[in-house]
Amino acid sequence: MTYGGGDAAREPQLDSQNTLKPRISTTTNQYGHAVSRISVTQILEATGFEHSYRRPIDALADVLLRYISHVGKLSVSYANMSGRIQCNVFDVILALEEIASVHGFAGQSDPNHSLSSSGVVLDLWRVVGKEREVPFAGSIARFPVTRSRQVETSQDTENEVEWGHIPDWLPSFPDPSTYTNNSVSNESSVPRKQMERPHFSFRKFFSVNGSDGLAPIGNTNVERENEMVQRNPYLVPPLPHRERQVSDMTIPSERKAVSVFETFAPVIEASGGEIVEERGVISSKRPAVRFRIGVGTKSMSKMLSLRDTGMKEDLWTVKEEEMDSKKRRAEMILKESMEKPNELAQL
Amino acid sequence: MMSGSGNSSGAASTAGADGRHDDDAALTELLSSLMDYTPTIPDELVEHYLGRSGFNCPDLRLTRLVAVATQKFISDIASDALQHSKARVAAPIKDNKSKQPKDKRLVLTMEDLSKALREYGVNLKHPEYFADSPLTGTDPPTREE
Repeated sequence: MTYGGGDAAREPQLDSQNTLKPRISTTTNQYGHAVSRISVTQILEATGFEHSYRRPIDALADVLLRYISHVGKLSVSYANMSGRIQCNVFDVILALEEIASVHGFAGQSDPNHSLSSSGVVLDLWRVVGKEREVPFAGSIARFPVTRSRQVETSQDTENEVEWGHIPDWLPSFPDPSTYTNNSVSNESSVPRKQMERPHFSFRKFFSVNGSDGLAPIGNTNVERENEMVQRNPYLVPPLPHRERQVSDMTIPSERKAVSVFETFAPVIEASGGEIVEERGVISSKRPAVRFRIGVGTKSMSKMLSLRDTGMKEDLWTVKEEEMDSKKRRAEMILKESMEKPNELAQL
Repeated sequence: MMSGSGNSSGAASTAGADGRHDDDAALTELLSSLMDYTPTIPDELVEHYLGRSGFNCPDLRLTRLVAVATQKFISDIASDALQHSKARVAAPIKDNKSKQPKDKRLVLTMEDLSKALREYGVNLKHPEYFADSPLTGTDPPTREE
């Protein structure tokens, strides 16, 4: 069948003012329209036409697609009216009858006619049974073709367990050993560093450089409990005595106090000699009290508790001692000057 | 099909049973033969456009049924257009120009197609001429979208 191109009006005339866009096919269904054009051509050839222009074929292809959509829409509406979402053969027959009611079919006037043997069905039966079968020229793939997306997983899927009730697009669960108190899995599977990564590691923050005296952590209950509670330093239970080896704290109080008093010695002597005795009394009797005035209650409470329990070794206080020794010295000077305002005035 | 309801119960029941059997026979045979018959319209095309309308059915026979119905519809239109074309060819020529006899070619034109489609409720009009601008002319040409 020749495909005549004599219809010059097929091509849209694109001007600057009036833009004639092809209304038959849009970019979305160009493929479907092309396939239907092939089918229409085959049907026309089977009917008896030898030649045709391009435009009637395009029009018939469009009519074909609209007919399919119309039948589908009517079938769905009949199914929905019956309370179903899946279409039935009777829904399709009712839709075909509604379309054919414009032209008329056999048995249309009878309102109680059976759907199984309506005129529409008989017409189709005639087509299938008697007419020559003209299969589609060539084969087409199932369309529309959707690109298979690579499902991106947020975490590595080594330990992925197939949950039936959890959709795939949700992020995977974290490593079970991170949230279970399993002693076996604590040390063997996951390194400690990875476990502590999401949380601020107080241990590392307050650890002394080099030999901090940390005993190697064994698989004891206390150690595990300490590790788990390390996230909140306020909840750390007090360690038993001598469990953890820490370096001895340098107690700078005597030396520093002496240096302070020595500094103010001429001033004190100038005021009076009584104070000299006090100084001696003070220097000998005063315990190693470490106050941190105006800094916060944290270290103060910790200091007091340590004093009560008799434990002077602690990681944090060691670190704090070294960091704030100068500050404390200055504060002590201030405190003493506040206690003895007479000397201050004389200064 | 529907036997008279005034018959005796026995006759009515037997007739009703036979009627029902006959009623279902056409549809059953049609559905069973659909798998052997390959319609001219491919299944993938029909499935795609049915899916776009919300038609959801996993049964392939229904898809084939719609394809056969569509094929019958288009072939009916084509046969009507063919009759119009044959009528035009067979019509005597009014003009007295010395002309070769009418070629017996059967060509589908927009005119024949629009006449055939009008009976089915599809309005397809082809404008006879094109104007310089769309504003020319009183009525805009009605066209099938």
